[in-house]
Amino acid sequence: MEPEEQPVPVFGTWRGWYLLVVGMLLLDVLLLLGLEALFG
Amino acid sequence: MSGWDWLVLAATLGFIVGYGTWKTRRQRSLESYFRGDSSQKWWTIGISVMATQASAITFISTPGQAYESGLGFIQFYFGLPLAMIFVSVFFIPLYYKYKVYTAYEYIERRFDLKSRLLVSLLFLMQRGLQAGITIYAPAIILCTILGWNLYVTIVAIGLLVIVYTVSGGTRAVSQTQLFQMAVMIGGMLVAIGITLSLLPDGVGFAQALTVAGASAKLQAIDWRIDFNERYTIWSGLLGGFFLSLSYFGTDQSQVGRYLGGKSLTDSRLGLLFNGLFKIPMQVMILLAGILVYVFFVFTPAPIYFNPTLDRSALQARSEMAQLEADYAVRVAARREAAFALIDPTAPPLAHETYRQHDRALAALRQHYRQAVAAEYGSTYATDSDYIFLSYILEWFPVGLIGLLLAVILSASMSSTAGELNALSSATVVDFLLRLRRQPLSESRQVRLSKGITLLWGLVAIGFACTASLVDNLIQAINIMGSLFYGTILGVFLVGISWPRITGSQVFWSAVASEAVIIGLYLTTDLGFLWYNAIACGLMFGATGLLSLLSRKGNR
Repeated sequence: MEPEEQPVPVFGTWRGWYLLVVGMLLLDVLLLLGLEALFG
Repeated sequence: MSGWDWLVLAATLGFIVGYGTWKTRRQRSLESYFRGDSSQKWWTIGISVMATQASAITFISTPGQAYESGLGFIQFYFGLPLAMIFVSVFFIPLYYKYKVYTAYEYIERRFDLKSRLLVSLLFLMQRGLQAGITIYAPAIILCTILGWNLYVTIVAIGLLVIVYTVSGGTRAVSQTQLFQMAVMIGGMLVAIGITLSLLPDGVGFAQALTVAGASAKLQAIDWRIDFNERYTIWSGLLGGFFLSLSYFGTDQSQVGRYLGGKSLTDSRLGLLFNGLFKIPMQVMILLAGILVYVFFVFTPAPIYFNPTLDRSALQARSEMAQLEADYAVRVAARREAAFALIDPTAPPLAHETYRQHDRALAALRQHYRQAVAAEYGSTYATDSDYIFLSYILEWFPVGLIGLLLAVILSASMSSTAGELNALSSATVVDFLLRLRRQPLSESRQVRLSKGITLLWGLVAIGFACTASLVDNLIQAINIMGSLFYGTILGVFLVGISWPRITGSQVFWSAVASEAVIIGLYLTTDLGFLWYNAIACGLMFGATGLLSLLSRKGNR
Protein backbone atom coordinates (compact mmCIF):
# COMPACT_ATOMS: atom_id res chain seq x y z
CA MET A 1 0.00 0.00 0.00
CA GLU A 2 1.35 3.45 -0.90
CA PRO A 3 2.08 5.72 2.08
CA GLU A 4 -0.50 8.29 0.99
CA GLU A 5 -3.21 5.63 0.84
CA GLN A 6 -2.70 4.59 4.42
CA PRO A 7 -5.56 5.43 6.73
CA VAL A 8 -4.62 7.71 9.62
CA PRO A 9 -3.58 5.19 12.28
CA VAL A 10 -5.36 5.29 15.58
CA PHE A 11 -3.49 5.92 18.79
CA GLY A 12 -3.88 2.34 19.99
CA THR A 13 -1.69 0.77 17.29
CA TRP A 14 1.23 2.86 18.49
CA ARG A 15 0.77 2.39 22.22
CA GLY A 16 3.81 0.13 22.57
CA TRP A 17 6.19 2.68 21.06
CA TYR A 18 4.78 5.54 23.06
CA LEU A 19 5.09 3.53 26.26
CA LEU A 20 8.71 2.79 25.33
CA VAL A 21 9.51 6.51 24.98
CA VAL A 22 7.76 7.40 28.26
CA GLY A 23 9.49 4.43 29.92
CA MET A 24 12.85 5.66 28.67
CA LEU A 25 12.14 9.14 30.07
CA LEU A 26 11.29 7.64 33.46
CA LEU A 27 14.39 5.44 33.28
CA ASP A 28 16.53 8.49 32.47
CA VAL A 29 15.13 10.35 35.47
CA LEU A 30 15.64 7.32 37.74
CA LEU A 31 19.22 6.85 36.52
CA LEU A 32 20.01 10.52 37.15
CA LEU A 33 18.49 10.31 40.64
CA GLY A 34 20.52 7.13 41.24
CA LEU A 35 23.71 8.83 40.10
CA GLU A 36 23.12 11.64 42.55
CA ALA A 37 22.26 9.24 45.38
CA LEU A 38 25.40 7.15 44.76
CA PHE A 39 27.98 9.91 44.30
CA GLY A 40 26.31 13.13 45.44
CA MET B 1 47.08 23.55 15.66
CA SER B 2 49.49 21.17 13.94
CA GLY B 3 49.54 19.96 10.33
CA TRP B 4 47.98 16.65 11.43
CA ASP B 5 45.05 18.47 12.99
CA TRP B 6 44.46 20.41 9.79
CA LEU B 7 44.64 17.16 7.83
CA VAL B 8 42.07 15.40 10.07
CA LEU B 9 39.76 18.43 9.96
CA ALA B 10 40.00 18.93 6.19
CA ALA B 11 39.69 15.20 5.40
CA THR B 12 36.61 14.76 7.62
CA LEU B 13 34.74 17.80 6.33
CA GLY B 14 35.91 17.28 2.72
CA PHE B 15 34.70 13.68 2.70
CA ILE B 16 31.28 14.58 4.12
CA VAL B 17 30.68 17.45 1.70
CA GLY B 18 32.05 15.51 -1.30
CA TYR B 19 30.08 12.35 -0.56
CA GLY B 20 26.84 14.25 0.11
CA THR B 21 27.13 16.24 -3.10
CA TRP B 22 28.06 13.26 -5.29
CA LYS B 23 25.47 10.86 -3.84
CA THR B 24 22.53 13.22 -4.37
CA ARG B 25 23.62 15.05 -7.52
CA ARG B 26 20.52 14.27 -9.65
CA GLN B 27 17.39 16.13 -8.57
CA ARG B 28 14.68 16.31 -11.21
CA SER B 29 11.50 17.25 -9.39
CA LEU B 30 10.29 19.31 -6.46
CA GLU B 31 9.19 16.07 -4.76
CA SER B 32 12.73 14.80 -5.03
CA TYR B 33 14.37 18.11 -4.01
CA PHE B 34 12.24 18.92 -0.96
CA ARG B 35 10.96 15.50 0.12
CA GLY B 36 13.80 13.27 -1.04
CA ASP B 37 11.36 11.18 -3.14
CA SER B 38 9.77 10.10 0.14
CA SER B 39 12.43 7.43 0.46
CA GLN B 40 14.02 8.02 3.89
CA LYS B 41 14.09 5.17 6.41
CA TRP B 42 13.21 5.83 10.05
CA TRP B 43 16.76 5.71 11.35
CA THR B 44 17.93 8.24 8.74
CA ILE B 45 15.07 10.52 9.81
CA GLY B 46 15.88 10.06 13.51
CA ILE B 47 19.55 10.91 13.04
CA SER B 48 18.69 13.80 10.73
CA VAL B 49 16.26 15.26 13.30
CA MET B 50 18.90 15.00 16.05
CA ALA B 51 21.67 16.45 13.84
CA THR B 52 19.52 19.43 12.84
CA GLN B 53 18.88 20.30 16.47
CA ALA B 54 22.50 19.78 17.58
CA SER B 55 24.22 23.05 16.73
CA ALA B 56 27.87 23.88 17.28
CA ILE B 57 26.90 25.82 20.38
CA THR B 58 25.59 22.53 21.85
CA PHE B 59 29.14 21.17 21.74
CA ILE B 60 30.92 24.39 22.73
CA SER B 61 28.66 25.78 25.46
CA THR B 62 27.03 22.72 27.05
CA PRO B 63 30.29 21.23 28.48
CA GLY B 64 31.16 24.71 29.80
CA GLN B 65 27.75 24.92 31.43
CA ALA B 66 28.32 21.51 33.09
CA TYR B 67 31.75 22.69 34.30
CA GLU B 68 30.01 25.56 36.09
CA SER B 69 26.76 24.09 37.31
CA GLY B 70 26.68 20.36 36.60
CA LEU B 71 23.89 18.21 35.19
CA GLY B 72 20.93 20.53 35.97
CA PHE B 73 20.59 21.71 32.35
CA ILE B 74 19.36 18.22 31.36
CA GLN B 75 15.94 19.08 32.83
CA PHE B 76 15.40 21.41 29.87
CA TYR B 77 15.01 18.26 27.70
CA PHE B 78 12.49 16.38 29.85
CA GLY B 79 9.49 17.67 27.88
CA LEU B 80 11.00 16.53 24.58
CA PRO B 81 10.09 12.81 24.60
CA LEU B 82 6.49 13.68 25.50
CA ALA B 83 6.35 16.23 22.69
CA MET B 84 7.65 13.57 20.26
CA ILE B 85 4.67 11.38 21.14
CA PHE B 86 2.24 14.30 20.71
CA VAL B 87 3.69 15.21 17.29
CA SER B 88 3.59 11.55 16.19
CA VAL B 89 -0.05 11.17 17.21
CA PHE B 90 -1.55 14.49 16.09
CA PHE B 91 0.72 16.32 13.62
CA ILE B 92 2.38 13.77 11.32
CA PRO B 93 -0.84 12.01 10.21
CA LEU B 94 -2.24 15.38 9.06
CA TYR B 95 0.89 16.25 7.11
CA TYR B 96 0.68 12.88 5.39
CA LYS B 97 -3.04 13.16 4.79
CA TYR B 98 -2.66 16.47 2.93
CA LYS B 99 0.69 15.45 1.32
CA VAL B 100 2.31 18.77 2.21
CA TYR B 101 5.78 20.06 1.36
CA THR B 102 5.77 22.54 4.24
CA ALA B 103 4.00 22.51 7.58
CA TYR B 104 2.30 25.79 6.65
CA GLU B 105 0.44 24.21 3.72
CA TYR B 106 -1.67 22.46 6.33
CA ILE B 107 -2.74 25.88 7.69
CA GLU B 108 -4.22 26.83 4.31
CA ARG B 109 -6.02 23.48 4.03
CA ARG B 110 -7.48 23.93 7.48
CA PHE B 111 -8.02 27.73 7.55
CA ASP B 112 -7.16 30.05 4.66
CA LEU B 113 -4.34 31.50 2.58
CA LYS B 114 -3.74 34.60 4.73
CA SER B 115 -3.21 32.51 7.88
CA ARG B 116 -0.75 30.26 5.99
CA LEU B 117 1.21 33.24 4.70
CA LEU B 118 1.27 34.83 8.18
CA VAL B 119 2.79 31.77 9.94
CA SER B 120 5.15 31.04 7.05
CA LEU B 121 6.35 34.65 7.11
CA LEU B 122 6.89 34.51 10.90
CA PHE B 123 8.94 31.34 10.33
CA LEU B 124 11.02 32.91 7.53
CA MET B 125 11.81 36.02 9.59
CA GLN B 126 12.84 34.08 12.65
CA ARG B 127 14.72 31.23 10.94
CA GLY B 128 16.36 33.50 8.35
CA LEU B 129 18.05 35.50 11.10
CA GLN B 130 18.80 32.37 13.13
CA ALA B 131 20.64 30.75 10.18
CA GLY B 132 23.16 33.59 10.26
CA ILE B 133 23.65 33.14 13.99
CA THR B 134 24.08 29.34 13.58
CA ILE B 135 27.21 30.14 11.54
CA TYR B 136 28.34 33.23 13.43
CA ALA B 137 28.15 32.01 17.05
CA PRO B 138 30.67 29.13 16.75
CA ALA B 139 32.83 31.09 14.27
CA ILE B 140 33.43 33.93 16.71
CA ILE B 141 34.49 31.52 19.49
CA LEU B 142 36.74 29.45 17.18
CA CYS B 143 38.37 32.59 15.80
CA THR B 144 38.94 34.05 19.26
CA ILE B 145 40.69 30.92 20.49
CA LEU B 146 42.51 29.85 17.32
CA GLY B 147 43.31 33.27 15.92
CA TRP B 148 41.54 32.52 12.62
CA ASN B 149 40.08 35.32 10.52
CA LEU B 150 36.37 35.69 11.37
CA TYR B 151 35.17 36.54 7.86
CA VAL B 152 37.17 33.75 6.20
CA THR B 153 35.78 31.23 8.73
CA ILE B 154 32.17 32.36 8.22
CA VAL B 155 32.45 32.32 4.42
CA ALA B 156 34.19 28.90 4.46
CA ILE B 157 31.52 27.26 6.68
CA GLY B 158 28.73 28.91 4.67
CA LEU B 159 30.08 27.93 1.26
CA LEU B 160 30.70 24.31 2.29
CA VAL B 161 27.06 24.03 3.41
CA ILE B 162 25.77 25.79 0.29
CA VAL B 163 27.62 23.36 -2.04
CA TYR B 164 25.69 20.25 -1.02
CA THR B 165 22.45 21.83 0.18
CA VAL B 166 21.90 23.64 -3.14
CA SER B 167 22.91 20.66 -5.23
CA GLY B 168 21.15 17.80 -3.45
CA GLY B 169 18.29 19.36 -1.43
CA THR B 170 16.69 17.39 1.40
CA ARG B 171 18.44 14.10 0.56
CA ALA B 172 21.87 15.73 0.63
CA VAL B 173 21.02 17.29 4.00
CA SER B 174 20.08 13.95 5.58
CA GLN B 175 22.86 11.91 3.89
CA THR B 176 25.54 14.28 5.20
CA GLN B 177 23.87 14.42 8.60
CA LEU B 178 24.43 10.66 9.04
CA PHE B 179 28.20 11.18 8.82
CA GLN B 180 28.13 14.44 10.76
CA MET B 181 26.27 12.72 13.61
CA ALA B 182 28.80 9.86 13.61
CA VAL B 183 31.63 12.42 13.87
CA MET B 184 29.82 14.27 16.70
CA ILE B 185 29.09 11.18 18.81
CA GLY B 186 32.48 9.56 18.08
CA GLY B 187 34.32 12.82 18.84
CA MET B 188 32.56 13.32 22.17
CA LEU B 189 33.24 9.70 23.22
CA VAL B 190 36.92 10.24 22.34
CA ALA B 191 36.89 13.49 24.38
CA ILE B 192 35.51 11.60 27.41
CA GLY B 193 38.08 8.80 26.99
CA ILE B 194 41.03 11.22 26.64
CA THR B 195 39.92 13.23 29.68
CA LEU B 196 39.68 10.07 31.79
CA SER B 197 43.19 9.09 30.63
CA LEU B 198 44.54 12.51 31.65
CA LEU B 199 43.38 12.11 35.27
CA PRO B 200 46.12 11.22 37.80
CA ASP B 201 46.93 7.59 38.67
CA GLY B 202 44.37 6.11 41.01
CA VAL B 203 41.59 8.42 39.77
CA GLY B 204 39.23 6.41 37.57
CA PHE B 205 35.65 7.01 36.44
CA ALA B 206 34.11 6.16 39.84
CA GLN B 207 36.56 8.45 41.71
CA ALA B 208 35.91 11.22 39.18
CA LEU B 209 32.17 10.92 39.84
CA THR B 210 32.81 11.01 43.62
CA VAL B 211 34.68 14.30 43.22
CA ALA B 212 32.00 15.70 40.90
CA GLY B 213 29.29 14.57 43.33
CA ALA B 214 31.01 16.29 46.26
CA SER B 215 30.72 19.63 44.45
CA ALA B 216 27.02 19.01 43.68
CA LYS B 217 27.70 18.66 39.93
CA LEU B 218 25.61 15.47 39.75
CA GLN B 219 22.42 17.08 41.10
CA ALA B 220 20.37 16.71 37.95
CA ILE B 221 16.86 17.21 39.26
CA ASP B 222 15.45 20.24 41.04
CA TRP B 223 12.01 19.52 42.47
CA ARG B 224 11.35 23.08 43.71
CA ILE B 225 8.41 25.00 42.26
CA ASP B 226 10.10 28.30 41.52
CA PHE B 227 9.24 30.33 38.40
CA ASN B 228 12.41 32.40 38.64
CA GLU B 229 14.64 29.31 38.59
CA ARG B 230 15.41 28.63 34.92
CA TYR B 231 15.86 24.83 35.08
CA THR B 232 13.57 22.81 37.35
CA ILE B 233 11.82 19.55 36.57
CA TRP B 234 8.55 21.47 36.19
CA SER B 235 9.85 24.12 33.77
CA GLY B 236 11.58 21.30 31.87
CA LEU B 237 8.48 19.13 31.63
CA LEU B 238 5.90 21.83 30.89
CA GLY B 239 7.94 24.63 29.29
CA GLY B 240 10.21 22.14 27.50
CA PHE B 241 7.15 20.24 26.23
CA PHE B 242 5.65 23.32 24.56
CA LEU B 243 9.00 24.46 23.21
CA SER B 244 9.70 21.02 21.70
CA LEU B 245 6.15 20.86 20.35
CA SER B 246 6.65 24.17 18.50
CA TYR B 247 10.08 23.21 17.25
CA PHE B 248 9.41 19.65 16.11
CA GLY B 249 5.75 20.05 15.16
CA THR B 250 5.67 23.39 13.35
CA ASP B 251 9.23 24.53 12.50
CA GLN B 252 9.90 23.66 8.86
CA SER B 253 13.61 22.98 9.54
CA GLN B 254 12.43 19.95 11.58
CA VAL B 255 9.19 19.14 9.73
CA GLY B 256 11.20 19.00 6.47
CA ARG B 257 13.39 16.28 8.00
CA TYR B 258 10.57 13.84 8.68
CA LEU B 259 8.29 14.68 5.71
CA GLY B 260 10.76 12.81 3.48
CA GLY B 261 9.89 9.53 5.23
CA LYS B 262 9.21 6.37 3.26
CA SER B 263 5.93 6.05 5.11
CA LEU B 264 4.00 7.53 8.01
CA THR B 265 5.50 4.78 10.17
CA ASP B 266 9.07 5.78 9.25
CA SER B 267 8.41 9.44 10.06
CA ARG B 268 6.91 8.53 13.41
CA LEU B 269 9.66 6.10 14.34
CA GLY B 270 12.24 8.74 13.37
CA LEU B 271 10.78 11.21 15.85
CA LEU B 272 10.41 8.57 18.57
CA PHE B 273 14.08 7.65 17.99
CA ASN B 274 14.86 11.27 18.87
CA GLY B 275 12.64 10.97 21.96
CA LEU B 276 14.56 7.89 23.10
CA PHE B 277 18.12 9.11 22.55
CA LYS B 278 18.08 12.88 23.00
CA ILE B 279 18.43 12.84 26.80
CA PRO B 280 21.23 10.21 26.83
CA MET B 281 23.11 12.23 24.18
CA GLN B 282 22.82 15.44 26.19
CA VAL B 283 23.91 13.62 29.36
CA MET B 284 26.99 12.44 27.47
CA ILE B 285 27.87 16.03 26.45
CA LEU B 286 27.28 17.31 29.99
CA LEU B 287 29.39 14.45 31.35
CA ALA B 288 32.29 15.56 29.14
CA GLY B 289 32.07 18.98 30.81
CA ILE B 290 31.89 17.46 34.30
CA LEU B 291 35.01 15.40 33.60
CA VAL B 292 36.80 18.58 32.45
CA TYR B 293 35.88 20.04 35.87
CA VAL B 294 37.38 16.97 37.60
CA PHE B 295 40.49 17.26 35.42
CA PHE B 296 40.96 20.86 36.60
CA VAL B 297 40.57 19.73 40.22
CA PHE B 298 43.80 17.74 39.85
CA THR B 299 45.56 20.08 37.40
CA PRO B 300 45.93 23.80 38.26
CA ALA B 301 42.84 25.46 36.81
CA PRO B 302 42.89 28.93 35.26
CA ILE B 303 40.74 31.47 37.09
CA TYR B 304 39.41 32.88 33.81
CA PHE B 305 39.05 31.15 30.42
CA ASN B 306 38.30 33.91 27.89
CA PRO B 307 41.59 34.35 25.98
CA THR B 308 40.74 37.67 24.31
CA LEU B 309 41.99 39.73 27.22
CA ASP B 310 45.68 40.39 27.62
CA ARG B 311 46.59 38.31 30.71
CA SER B 312 49.74 40.26 31.48
CA ALA B 313 47.76 43.52 31.56
CA LEU B 314 45.26 41.89 33.93
CA GLN B 315 47.96 40.49 36.20
CA ALA B 316 49.61 43.91 36.40
CA ARG B 317 46.59 45.16 38.35
CA SER B 318 46.98 44.52 42.06
CA GLU B 319 43.35 43.41 42.66
CA MET B 320 43.55 40.81 39.88
CA ALA B 321 46.99 39.61 40.91
CA GLN B 322 45.76 39.15 44.50
CA LEU B 323 42.69 37.20 43.34
CA GLU B 324 44.85 34.97 41.12
CA ALA B 325 47.27 34.30 43.99
CA ASP B 326 44.41 33.43 46.38
CA TYR B 327 42.91 31.19 43.70
CA ALA B 328 46.17 29.28 43.18
CA VAL B 329 46.50 28.64 46.95
CA ARG B 330 42.90 27.39 47.16
CA VAL B 331 43.31 25.20 44.04
CA ALA B 332 46.23 23.43 45.71
CA ALA B 333 44.20 22.96 48.89
CA ARG B 334 41.21 21.61 46.95
CA ARG B 335 43.47 19.15 45.16
CA GLU B 336 44.67 17.77 48.50
CA ALA B 337 41.07 17.59 49.73
CA ALA B 338 40.07 15.72 46.55
CA PHE B 339 42.75 13.08 47.11
CA ALA B 340 41.55 12.71 50.69
CA LEU B 341 37.98 12.38 49.44
CA ILE B 342 38.65 9.45 47.13
CA ASP B 343 40.81 7.64 49.65
CA PRO B 344 38.84 4.56 50.83
CA THR B 345 39.86 5.40 54.40
CA ALA B 346 38.64 9.00 54.00
CA PRO B 347 37.86 10.79 57.26
CA PRO B 348 34.17 11.66 57.75
CA LEU B 349 34.83 15.38 57.26
CA ALA B 350 36.56 14.95 53.87
CA HIS B 351 33.38 15.83 51.96
CA GLU B 352 32.79 19.00 53.92
CA THR B 353 36.43 20.14 53.61
CA TYR B 354 36.31 19.59 49.84
CA ARG B 355 33.04 21.47 49.54
CA GLN B 356 34.40 24.47 51.45
CA HIS B 357 37.39 24.79 49.13
CA ASP B 358 35.20 24.32 46.06
CA ARG B 359 32.73 26.99 47.15
CA ALA B 360 35.55 29.40 47.96
CA LEU B 361 37.04 28.84 44.50
CA ALA B 362 33.67 29.42 42.79
CA ALA B 363 33.31 32.69 44.73
CA LEU B 364 36.85 33.82 43.80
CA ARG B 365 36.18 33.04 40.12
CA GLN B 366 32.92 34.98 40.24
CA HIS B 367 34.66 37.92 41.92
CA TYR B 368 37.36 37.89 39.24
CA ARG B 369 34.84 37.83 36.40
CA GLN B 370 32.94 40.75 37.94
CA ALA B 371 36.18 42.71 38.19
CA VAL B 372 36.99 41.95 34.54
CA ALA B 373 33.44 42.92 33.49
CA ALA B 374 33.63 46.18 35.45
CA GLU B 375 36.84 47.06 33.63
CA TYR B 376 36.14 45.78 30.10
CA GLY B 377 32.35 45.55 29.78
CA SER B 378 29.55 43.05 30.52
CA THR B 379 30.39 40.77 27.56
CA TYR B 380 33.39 39.60 29.59
CA ALA B 381 31.25 38.67 32.61
CA THR B 382 31.03 35.04 31.47
CA ASP B 383 33.75 32.82 30.08
CA SER B 384 32.04 29.41 30.14
CA ASP B 385 31.83 29.20 26.31
CA TYR B 386 35.63 29.09 26.17
CA ILE B 387 36.22 26.38 28.79
CA PHE B 388 35.85 23.25 26.66
CA LEU B 389 37.67 24.51 23.56
CA SER B 390 40.62 26.01 25.43
CA TYR B 391 40.91 22.76 27.42
CA ILE B 392 40.99 20.69 24.20
CA LEU B 393 43.58 22.93 22.55
CA GLU B 394 45.90 22.83 25.53
CA TRP B 395 45.65 19.20 26.59
CA PHE B 396 44.58 17.02 23.65
CA PRO B 397 47.10 15.06 21.56
CA VAL B 398 47.91 16.07 17.99
CA GLY B 399 45.29 14.88 15.49
CA LEU B 400 42.49 14.69 18.03
CA ILE B 401 42.29 18.48 18.23
CA GLY B 402 41.42 18.36 14.51
CA LEU B 403 38.78 15.70 15.22
CA LEU B 404 37.13 17.79 17.95
CA LEU B 405 37.11 20.86 15.70
CA ALA B 406 35.49 18.64 13.04
CA VAL B 407 32.78 17.82 15.63
CA ILE B 408 32.05 21.51 16.16
CA LEU B 409 32.08 22.42 12.46
CA SER B 410 29.99 19.34 11.57
CA ALA B 411 27.39 20.44 14.10
CA SER B 412 27.36 23.95 12.70
CA MET B 413 27.01 22.66 9.13
CA SER B 414 24.32 20.08 9.92
CA SER B 415 21.99 22.59 11.54
CA THR B 416 22.68 25.31 8.95
CA ALA B 417 21.93 22.85 6.12
CA GLY B 418 18.57 21.91 7.67
CA GLU B 419 17.75 25.60 8.06
CA LEU B 420 18.67 26.62 4.49
CA ASN B 421 16.67 23.72 3.05
CA ALA B 422 13.63 24.70 5.14
CA LEU B 423 13.91 28.41 4.31
CA SER B 424 14.02 27.54 0.63
CA SER B 425 11.04 25.16 0.76
CA ALA B 426 8.88 27.69 2.65
CA THR B 427 9.84 30.53 0.26
CA VAL B 428 9.29 28.46 -2.89
CA VAL B 429 6.23 26.41 -1.91
CA ASP B 430 4.36 28.85 0.36
CA PHE B 431 5.06 32.06 -1.58
CA LEU B 432 6.58 31.83 -5.06
CA LEU B 433 4.71 28.80 -6.46
CA ARG B 434 1.54 29.41 -4.46
CA LEU B 435 1.13 33.04 -5.52
CA ARG B 436 2.17 32.50 -9.15
CA ARG B 437 -0.61 32.40 -11.75
CA GLN B 438 1.00 30.18 -14.44
CA PRO B 439 2.42 26.83 -13.33
CA LEU B 440 6.15 26.14 -13.78
CA SER B 441 7.65 23.01 -15.34
CA GLU B 442 9.27 20.46 -12.97
CA SER B 443 12.79 21.33 -14.09
CA ARG B 444 12.22 25.08 -13.67
CA GLN B 445 10.75 24.46 -10.21
CA VAL B 446 13.94 22.62 -9.21
CA ARG B 447 16.14 25.36 -10.70
CA LEU B 448 14.13 28.01 -8.84
CA SER B 449 14.45 26.03 -5.55
CA LYS B 450 18.21 25.70 -6.01
CA GLY B 451 18.50 29.43 -6.68
CA ILE B 452 16.48 30.30 -3.57
CA THR B 453 18.56 27.90 -1.41
CA LEU B 454 21.70 29.63 -2.71
CA LEU B 455 20.17 33.02 -1.99
CA TRP B 456 19.31 32.09 1.62
CA GLY B 457 22.84 30.71 2.04
CA LEU B 458 24.30 34.02 0.90
CA VAL B 459 21.89 35.93 3.17
CA ALA B 460 23.01 33.76 6.13
CA ILE B 461 26.69 34.39 5.32
CA GLY B 462 26.10 38.13 4.87
CA PHE B 463 24.15 38.31 8.10
CA ALA B 464 26.80 36.33 10.01
CA CYS B 465 29.48 38.73 8.72
CA THR B 466 27.61 41.77 10.00
CA ALA B 467 26.49 40.16 13.29
CA SER B 468 29.57 41.31 15.20
CA LEU B 469 28.77 44.94 14.42
CA VAL B 470 25.62 44.99 16.55
CA ASP B 471 25.78 44.64 20.34
CA ASN B 472 23.71 41.84 21.91
CA LEU B 473 22.39 40.78 18.51
CA ILE B 474 22.40 37.06 19.29
CA GLN B 475 20.36 37.62 22.40
CA ALA B 476 17.89 39.81 20.49
CA ILE B 477 17.37 37.14 17.82
CA ASN B 478 16.95 34.35 20.33
CA ILE B 479 14.33 36.42 22.17
CA MET B 480 12.56 37.17 18.89
CA GLY B 481 12.41 33.45 18.11
CA SER B 482 10.83 32.59 21.44
CA LEU B 483 8.30 35.42 21.03
CA PHE B 484 6.90 33.97 17.78
CA TYR B 485 7.06 30.26 18.53
CA GLY B 486 4.07 30.00 20.89
CA THR B 487 1.66 31.79 18.56
CA ILE B 488 2.62 29.60 15.59
CA LEU B 489 2.08 26.52 17.75
CA GLY B 490 -1.26 27.94 18.95
CA VAL B 491 -2.48 28.28 15.33
CA PHE B 492 -1.65 24.61 14.66
CA LEU B 493 -3.18 23.35 17.92
CA VAL B 494 -6.43 25.26 17.37
CA GLY B 495 -6.53 23.90 13.80
CA ILE B 496 -6.05 20.33 14.96
CA SER B 497 -8.39 20.34 17.94
CA TRP B 498 -11.21 22.81 17.18
CA PRO B 499 -13.12 22.23 13.93
CA ARG B 500 -15.50 25.18 14.46
CA ILE B 501 -12.82 27.91 14.30
CA THR B 502 -12.51 29.78 10.98
CA GLY B 503 -9.52 31.35 9.18
CA SER B 504 -10.31 34.97 10.06
CA GLN B 505 -10.83 34.05 13.73
CA VAL B 506 -7.44 32.32 13.95
CA PHE B 507 -5.70 35.11 11.99
CA TRP B 508 -6.87 37.94 14.27
CA SER B 509 -6.32 35.82 17.39
CA ALA B 510 -2.72 35.25 16.26
CA VAL B 511 -2.20 38.99 15.80
CA ALA B 512 -3.71 39.68 19.27
CA SER B 513 -1.75 36.86 20.95
CA GLU B 514 1.50 38.14 19.46
CA ALA B 515 0.76 41.65 20.74
CA VAL B 516 0.13 40.33 24.28
CA ILE B 517 3.32 38.23 24.23
CA ILE B 518 5.42 41.21 23.12
CA GLY B 519 3.70 43.28 25.84
CA LEU B 520 4.57 40.62 28.46
CA TYR B 521 8.19 40.61 27.27
CA LEU B 522 8.44 44.39 27.58
CA THR B 523 6.80 44.64 31.01
CA THR B 524 7.72 41.46 32.95
CA ASP B 525 10.76 39.26 33.72
CA LEU B 526 9.01 35.97 32.90
CA GLY B 527 11.35 33.15 31.71
CA PHE B 528 11.23 32.61 27.93
CA LEU B 529 10.29 28.93 28.36
CA TRP B 530 6.85 30.01 29.57
CA TYR B 531 5.95 32.18 26.54
CA ASN B 532 5.06 29.14 24.40
CA ALA B 533 2.53 27.78 26.88
CA ILE B 534 1.02 31.24 27.48
CA ALA B 535 0.70 32.01 23.75
CA CYS B 536 -1.10 28.69 23.20
CA GLY B 537 -3.51 29.51 26.03
CA LEU B 538 -4.10 32.96 24.53
CA MET B 539 -4.79 31.49 21.10
CA PHE B 540 -7.44 29.14 22.50
CA GLY B 541 -8.99 31.94 24.60
CA ALA B 542 -9.08 34.48 21.74
CA THR B 543 -10.38 32.11 19.06
CA GLY B 544 -13.02 30.83 21.50
CA LEU B 545 -14.13 34.39 22.24
CA LEU B 546 -14.30 35.36 18.56
CA SER B 547 -16.24 32.21 17.75
CA LEU B 548 -18.72 32.97 20.54
CA LEU B 549 -19.17 36.57 19.35
CA SER B 550 -19.73 35.51 15.75
CA ARG B 551 -22.35 32.95 16.81
CA LYS B 552 -24.16 35.60 18.87
CA GLY B 553 -23.98 37.97 15.87
CA ASN B 554 -25.53 35.34 13.61
CA ARG B 555 -28.51 34.79 15.88
